[in-house]
Parts: sequence; C-alpha cells; structure tokens
Amino acid sequence: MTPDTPIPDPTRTGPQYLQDDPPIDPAWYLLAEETLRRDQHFERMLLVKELAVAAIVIALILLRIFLIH
Amino acid sequence: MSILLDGVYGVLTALVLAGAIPLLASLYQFAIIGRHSIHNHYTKVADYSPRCAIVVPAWNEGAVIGATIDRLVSLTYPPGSLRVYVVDDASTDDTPDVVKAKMREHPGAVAHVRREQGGQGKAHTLNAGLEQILAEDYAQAILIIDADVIFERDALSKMTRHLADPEVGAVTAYIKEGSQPPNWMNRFIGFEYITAQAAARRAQNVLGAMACLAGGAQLHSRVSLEAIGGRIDTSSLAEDTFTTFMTQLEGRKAVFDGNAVVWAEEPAEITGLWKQRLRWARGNVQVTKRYRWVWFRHDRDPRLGSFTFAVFWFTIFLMPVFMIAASTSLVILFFANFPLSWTLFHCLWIINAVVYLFVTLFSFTIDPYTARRTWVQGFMFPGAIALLIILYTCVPPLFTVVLREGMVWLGIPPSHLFIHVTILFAYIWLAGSMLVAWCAKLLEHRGKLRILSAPLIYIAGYGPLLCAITFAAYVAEARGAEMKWDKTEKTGKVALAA
Repeated sequence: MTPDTPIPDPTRTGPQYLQDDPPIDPAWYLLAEETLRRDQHFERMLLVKELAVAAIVIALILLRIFLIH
Repeated sequence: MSILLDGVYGVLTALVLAGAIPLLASLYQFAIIGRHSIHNHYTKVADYSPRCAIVVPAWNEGAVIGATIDRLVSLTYPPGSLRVYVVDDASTDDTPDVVKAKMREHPGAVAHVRREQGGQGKAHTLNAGLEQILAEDYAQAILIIDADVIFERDALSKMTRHLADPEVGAVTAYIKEGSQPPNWMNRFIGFEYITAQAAARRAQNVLGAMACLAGGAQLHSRVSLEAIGGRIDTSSLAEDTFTTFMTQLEGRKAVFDGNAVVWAEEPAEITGLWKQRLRWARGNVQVTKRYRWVWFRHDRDPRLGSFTFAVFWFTIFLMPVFMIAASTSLVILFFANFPLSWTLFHCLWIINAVVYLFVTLFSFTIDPYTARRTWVQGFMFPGAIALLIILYTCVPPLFTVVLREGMVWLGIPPSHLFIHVTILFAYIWLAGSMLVAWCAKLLEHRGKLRILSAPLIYIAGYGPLLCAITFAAYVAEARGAEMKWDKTEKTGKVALAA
C-alpha cells in the first residue's frame, strides 16, 4: 500500500463507490485476484476430496460385506 | 390384540429408526458440500473495499483491547477505508485510557463510544455503537466482532468482496479455535468448528439459506442493516441468529466465506462451554418459536422455509429427543420382542458407523491444519463406548473374540445374564451418554473428582455433551429461567497459526 501516492483509480468498482474515496494502489487488485483464484481452487478441490473420502468409505463397506463373515 | 401389538411394534420401530434421521441429515449435509465447488458465491465477487466501520464491544478489556485495535488497523485493507469503533460497556478498568491512547496513535481510524450504564448484554452494547455509526455517513459496511478475536490479515477483504453483489446483505467468516497451547476441550471445539462451520455453512451456502452469522465476525452492508431496523435484537439470547434470519427475510443473502479465517479463544472447561452453549441453545429455542411461521413454509420464504433447511435445523434442535426416543423404544422392545430390537439396533448403528466415518474423514480434509491439532478428538467425538458399539456392529467376530478373551482375563464367567445386561446397556447408551456427559460437568468442580471429568467426556463423547446442553436448554426455556448474558471467560491465549 502507498497511501500517499495519488494514483488514478479507473479500476475501482462496487455499488457504493464514492469519488472522494482515497485512491487505491493497483497492486491491491492483483493481490485480490490471486487470492480469489486460490480460494476458488480450494473450493474445487473440496469436491475431489469428498469423492476420495466417499470412495474410501464405500471400499470399507465392500470389504466388510465380502471379506468379513 | 395381535393388531394392537403389531401397531405398538410399528410405532417403536419407527421411533428407533427416527434415531437415524439426524445421522442421515448430517450425511446429506456433508454430501452437498461437494456442490460448493460450483455453487459458491465466488463467481459474483468483485474487488470492492467499502468504507468499513468495525464495532468492537468491550467490557474491561484493557489487557487486550490495545493489541486488538493495532491488529485491526493493520489489516490488508485500503488506507482510510477502515475505522474501529470500540463500544466501551461501562468498563471499570483502563479500557477507556487504552482506547484514547490508540485514538491518538491512529488519528481518524479509532473511535471510542462510552456507555455509562453497562452489563445489559452484548446486543445492547452493539446497538450503542451502531446508533453512532449509522448517524454518521462514513460507513458503507459494518463489521461486528468480539474484542478478543484475531482476524487473519486478508480476512476482511475476503469478506467485503462479496458485498459487491447487491443481493448480499451479510457475510460471515470461518471462526477457528486458536488457543495456544490448546487443551483437550479446545481441541474438541476445534474439530466441532470444522463440522459446524467450515462444513455446515458451506452446505448452507449451497442451499442459499444461512442459519447463523458467527457472532465474532459478521459483516453487514449498511443498506441491509438499516433495512432490518439498524439494531440488533435484544429480546433473546441468540441475537446473531435473529440478525441472520431478519437479513434473509428482508430478501438479502447471507454468505459464508470459508477462506476468510478468524481465530478465537473458546472455553477450556466443561463449565465454560456449558454456559456458552446453553445460551446458544436457549437462543435457538427462542428462534424456533419466533419463526414458527417460516419452518417448512416454502411460500413464506423460499430459502429459510425450504424443506431441507428445516430438516437440518430441526435434526440438530431435536437431537436429544431423537436419542431418548430411540433408546427408550429399544429398551421396551428388548423385553417385548428381542429379535426385532436386535435387528433395529444393528441397522441404527451401522448407519451411525457409515456417517461417522464419512463425516470425520471428510472434515479432516476440509481443514487439514485443524485436523492435525484435533484428530484424536475428531475420532473420539462420539465417545469411546459409542466407538466400541460401532466396532461391534461392523465387525462382530473381532469384537466377540476380544470381549470373550477380556472376560476370561478379568475372571468374569461368560453367562447369558452378563450378555443380556451388556446388550441392554448398549441400548440405553444413546440416551445414557448424555447423562454421563452431564455428570462430567458436575464433577468438574468437585475437588479431587475433577480429574474424572475429562476422561468421562472421552468415554461419553463430546457430541452427547452438546446434546445434554440442548436438553438443558429445553428445560431452562420451559421453566422460563432468567435470560442471563454470561460473558465467556477469555484469557487472551489465542494466537495466529504459524
């Protein structure tokens, strides 16, 4: 952050943006985009993890049914 | 007579099988989490950093409030877009002096709201702050937190990005138990929060209906807060849940961001947990009664009134009832129709085993850091005796051999009486575990007997302890017990993970 550097801010969006808000470093948006990509990746991986856990549980059930009498 | 008997058996069978409803609801809740990979709110977020007012209720927080303010003003957030309002609830320590010193240190970023008459509870304190904030033009969003929580540096910006969608009224974060070093109770709570927050709230995102915004981290857009009256409900013990319901019933979404992490110190003893959760559980009874016109009424509200959301809510709310009903029915069938009881017992516990395995293992993968801290408590969540019953129902031969050898080793002759008593004990255990958990709480302040309280929770289970508290909440509400806002005792031992 460089609070004292007056940088034009054409990228800033949002429903309640006010023109007299202090300017924001463009680096802020790069960081935010990278963070968003990471978070979306984490959520996508949850599905993979869920399927893996479900496979383990089903395998254990099948093991119980067919191997242990 | 035979028809009557069949009818009775049918009712008892239904009551036992109803014991599986909370388990199946939990399984379904975890199953839909995978859909969060597609049905999440990240597709609608944008870079958005509204001017944010942070409300910090504080009563005699002189020891921690300075550090809290320093951490808040150093969050990764555009400079000038953040202001901390400390609402001092008539503190008698040096809280006002510390806040005033911080106002000088961070000019324009800290405000002190003093209440001369305090002790009325968190909601009143918050309202004093909200009154001032909404009277000014500064805030576009309001973040309500607890004085002792620690926000990860990017947590606030991860929350505000959701407010770029005008349909969103409120956002909550993932509260993690962060006591350093954690004791056994902190670890149980840590694991519980994976299931109750990281997992359950993702499922609620998928449903589009949020049960509760975390009290320690709830962000509201100004327009949403004003739409619900600009105040927090003061008539109940569940002000967070009321705010969540009101926001959604006003037509706005409440969203959970599981990647925005906030660390909190939670109770380290059963008594502290009991006080905190009794307040929450009584609040849930009040919410259930207040919003009785919403439940299962899709026409009243398509999200909160949905069948699935109501099932999730009521299976937790009525968990003790399900457990007691299943246990009692099994005991009656034990004497009336043993073969039927034995079959039902197996069915119930096999479902329990499958759900336990899936929920526990999946929870570990959702938050691997907490899983490393709490894996023992995660596995022990249902209690040692419940795990033995699960083991028996899944692998009877193994269990039978171990039991027989154990009895020989202890010198107990295997007899029909012993086997019957053991089976009866297993039938009673669903409800009995709650009683044992309650005994653990009673023993915690009984001199030398206190050393038994933790082992008793490992034996009875942390889940049954929560059920016992819910049951106590029914009793307190039925008795019309006084609504006391007991502040959860904090020692300031929460720290950010390395």
